[in-house]
Amino acid sequence: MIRYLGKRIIFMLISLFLIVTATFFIMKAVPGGPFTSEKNVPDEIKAALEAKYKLNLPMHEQYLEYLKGVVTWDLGPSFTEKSSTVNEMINRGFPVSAHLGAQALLLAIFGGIILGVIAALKHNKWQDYSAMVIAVLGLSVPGFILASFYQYFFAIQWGLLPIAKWEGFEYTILPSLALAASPMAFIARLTRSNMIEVLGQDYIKTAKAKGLHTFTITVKHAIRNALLPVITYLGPLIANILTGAFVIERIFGVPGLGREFVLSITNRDYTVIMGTTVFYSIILVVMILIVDMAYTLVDPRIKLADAGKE
Amino acid sequence: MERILEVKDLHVSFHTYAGEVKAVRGVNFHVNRGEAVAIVGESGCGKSVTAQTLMKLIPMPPGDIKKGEILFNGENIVKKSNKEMESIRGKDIGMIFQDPMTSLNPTMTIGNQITEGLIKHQNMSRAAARDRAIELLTMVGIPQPEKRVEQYPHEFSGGMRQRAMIAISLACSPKLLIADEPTTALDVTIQAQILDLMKDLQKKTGTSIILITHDLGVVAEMCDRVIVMYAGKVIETGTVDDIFYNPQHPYTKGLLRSVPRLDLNRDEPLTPIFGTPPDLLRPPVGCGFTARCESAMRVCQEIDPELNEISTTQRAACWLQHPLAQNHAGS
Amino acid sequence: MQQLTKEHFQPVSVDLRQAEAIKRPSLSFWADVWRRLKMNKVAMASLIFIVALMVCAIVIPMVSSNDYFTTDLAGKNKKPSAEHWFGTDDLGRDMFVRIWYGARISLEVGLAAAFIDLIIGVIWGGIAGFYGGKVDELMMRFADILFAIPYLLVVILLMVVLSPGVGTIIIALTITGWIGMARIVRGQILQLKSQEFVLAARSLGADSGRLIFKHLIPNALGPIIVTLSLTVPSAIFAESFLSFIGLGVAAPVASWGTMSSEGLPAMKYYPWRLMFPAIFISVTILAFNLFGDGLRDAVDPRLRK
Repeated sequence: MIRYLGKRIIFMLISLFLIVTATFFIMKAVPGGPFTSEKNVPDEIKAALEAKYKLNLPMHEQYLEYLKGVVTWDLGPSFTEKSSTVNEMINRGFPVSAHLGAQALLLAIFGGIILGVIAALKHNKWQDYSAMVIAVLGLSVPGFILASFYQYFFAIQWGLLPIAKWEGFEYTILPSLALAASPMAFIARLTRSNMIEVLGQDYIKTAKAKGLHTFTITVKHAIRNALLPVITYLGPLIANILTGAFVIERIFGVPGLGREFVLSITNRDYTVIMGTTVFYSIILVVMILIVDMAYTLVDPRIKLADAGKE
Repeated sequence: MERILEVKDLHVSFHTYAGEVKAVRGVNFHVNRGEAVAIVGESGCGKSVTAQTLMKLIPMPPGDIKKGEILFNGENIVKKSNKEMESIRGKDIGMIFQDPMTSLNPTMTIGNQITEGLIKHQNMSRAAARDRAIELLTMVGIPQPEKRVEQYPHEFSGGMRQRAMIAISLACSPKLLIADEPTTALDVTIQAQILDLMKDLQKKTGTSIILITHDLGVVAEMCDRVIVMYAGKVIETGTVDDIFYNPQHPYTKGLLRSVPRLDLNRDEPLTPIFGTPPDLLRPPVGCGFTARCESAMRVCQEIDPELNEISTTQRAACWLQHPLAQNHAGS
Repeated sequence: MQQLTKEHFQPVSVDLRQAEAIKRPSLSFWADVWRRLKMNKVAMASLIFIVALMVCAIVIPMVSSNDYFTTDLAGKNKKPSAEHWFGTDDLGRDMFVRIWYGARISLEVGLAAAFIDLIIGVIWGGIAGFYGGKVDELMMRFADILFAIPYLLVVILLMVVLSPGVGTIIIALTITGWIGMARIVRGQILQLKSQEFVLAARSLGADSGRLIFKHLIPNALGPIIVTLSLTVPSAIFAESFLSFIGLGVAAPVASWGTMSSEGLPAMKYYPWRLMFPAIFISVTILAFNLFGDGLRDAVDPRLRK
């Protein structure tokens, strides 16, 4: 177990290192510096600014400074929001994004599993078809479109829920729903096909032959086995929610990190772009690692300690 | 002899997108208390469907019991609801399936799979059920049962898994045990062990057994009576001696002839029964075996024979038994 | 019951060999797949839609009297009418023809990205799977590390840096997009390699080339094609997503994503400016997804009803 964990962590660090390095060089590859768009900056001030942001150092020293910054978790100041540092922006925006993301994730997981289980139990009947139609729509309609529609109908036309901002629980409803749609659909389909496969397995017949209640069989035997593969998809799912949040936050004016990120892209605020990318990558890679570990703990067929004794 | 199970004129069909498949077309047999009865036949003859219908395990949307009665302990199972069946399954009737690899839940310990039934049917406490589970594992010959009870199926070998299955099915001491090809998926040496185990347990507990198989060797080892099925019907029944030494139906004779024997000449080819069973989507009007039978007669194509009594213990459904056919020296 | 006479008991000759004849005509694998696909009405409808979309995307911009960039500020924000079937946007441009130019972009990006992923993925996964051992381990380890980098983040970063345009979008999408296909191909080849028909072919004297082309690839094609058809909608989604946040194609080029982005703030007063591109994006992705699903069901024989 420790050895496996160690191996995974090393891979994680390698990936992070690649991302961090790639981010740096990609940003540096852009012609012109961050100040080229600001007209009429006298040369001395320009030089002073460049010195402040360490842009006058040779490339490899800049890279080392950057790496040092990442490791000490000092991501530098923002270029466009002159009074804030990147760290401050992350600390400000991330809790909001985390709230939105977590809500959406819970919605997706519970909604998706329930939908998938019902569809599987009523295989080929109307519940199955309607659930799968909903799922396919959820997967096909991009999150930002769904968000726009929600905003248009629920907020603007019918005035049922707030249009934008993040000032209370009712403000979180539309954004979470929009963000959860696609992951929920995916989980629903996956759960459904796993359930159908599991329900056709022999051990379900054995359970029935033992005279157990239908409910017990469904929950204790079927669902548990059907859900295992779903756990493996949680990693990519979290990644989806994370990137989906960028646009949802923009549409609903949610003051989260995603919105900052999108703004920084538009403004070409390079330190923010780099810092946020690094931050997101760390979160994602760690989440995926946790999910994978969780799976190995939950599935009794996977033994990491010693290869099964027989 | 007390009859613990009686099946009368059972008809089971499956409604598929291609039409109605008549899997069981009028099956009659009985099982006495304490006996081991074999149901023999090739793939597709309806033996598994019959067995699973005895416990109403067939999913009822595509499946459908069209006619007939199944009398277990005097009560007609066909009329029972699923809820009522839940108290019969596992408790009064137990079942062992063919492939122990896939018949056990991979994410539950063997112990839990045994105690589930005990807790439900016999209201045992967790602790008492666990003790009984260990007892059962010992009874089926699994060493170190206290350790094994916490293990998962993938940690057991094939033979041991089947033993565990037997333990699960016998947990609540059912009166009838249905074993659906219990040894087909196992090595020959393990087969022998499992059969010995089952014989042993049967003597000890007095459970009646229905053994479904296509392997005549297994039948000879274990059973008192044999029921031969073909194309959804019972075509011959009798004691083991009747069937092996005095088979009457051409199909039964063909089956026995096709078994490879140690005393045959090495260069002699094996004698199969040519052809394939009829399509049960459009079952034949007459006897189902006509197309493959060397002694086929006109009447065989037109009318399906009923089971005729040949002796007090043996019956066969064949027109060769008819007085009018006796003149042709029926093979 | 009718009376039985001796006549009835006359023996009947039965041709036992005839009993072994095969009753149904045998179909080749792909003919079978096509047959199953045809039975799936939803998948066929999606296919028809996709073909229609492609035809319109090619033809309509060619024959239309409007183009996508001529502005007409006097005629801006007009509702859909006989003159402008889909209305006009806030620069007076005809929405209808812009939608079809946008269709061209979405389809170009979708198909190109999918095919490039296919080529890279098949080569990479094929080599890894066929040779196995150290080669496989090395190649897939590399792919795994690359895969750990969040896909959309990479795409976004690249788009920040590269100049906007269809070509760069395609590059950004395929830089890490091929990994999924490579994994599928490798998995298929590994699984097929160990199956008995390969052993049988080898023992009958087949050499590597014959093995790869006549045995392994045809059997692996099923999942490959399914993956291909499901990559297209995800690429179309990515392009519209990028364009929506301002990283895709540059104005005045019409992409469904940019059109949606422009239509969003005007949603309350001029809803058609958002509705049309939004609906087209959704329905196109839906059609490709449904077709891909249908293809998957047709190719995998285990899913037969």
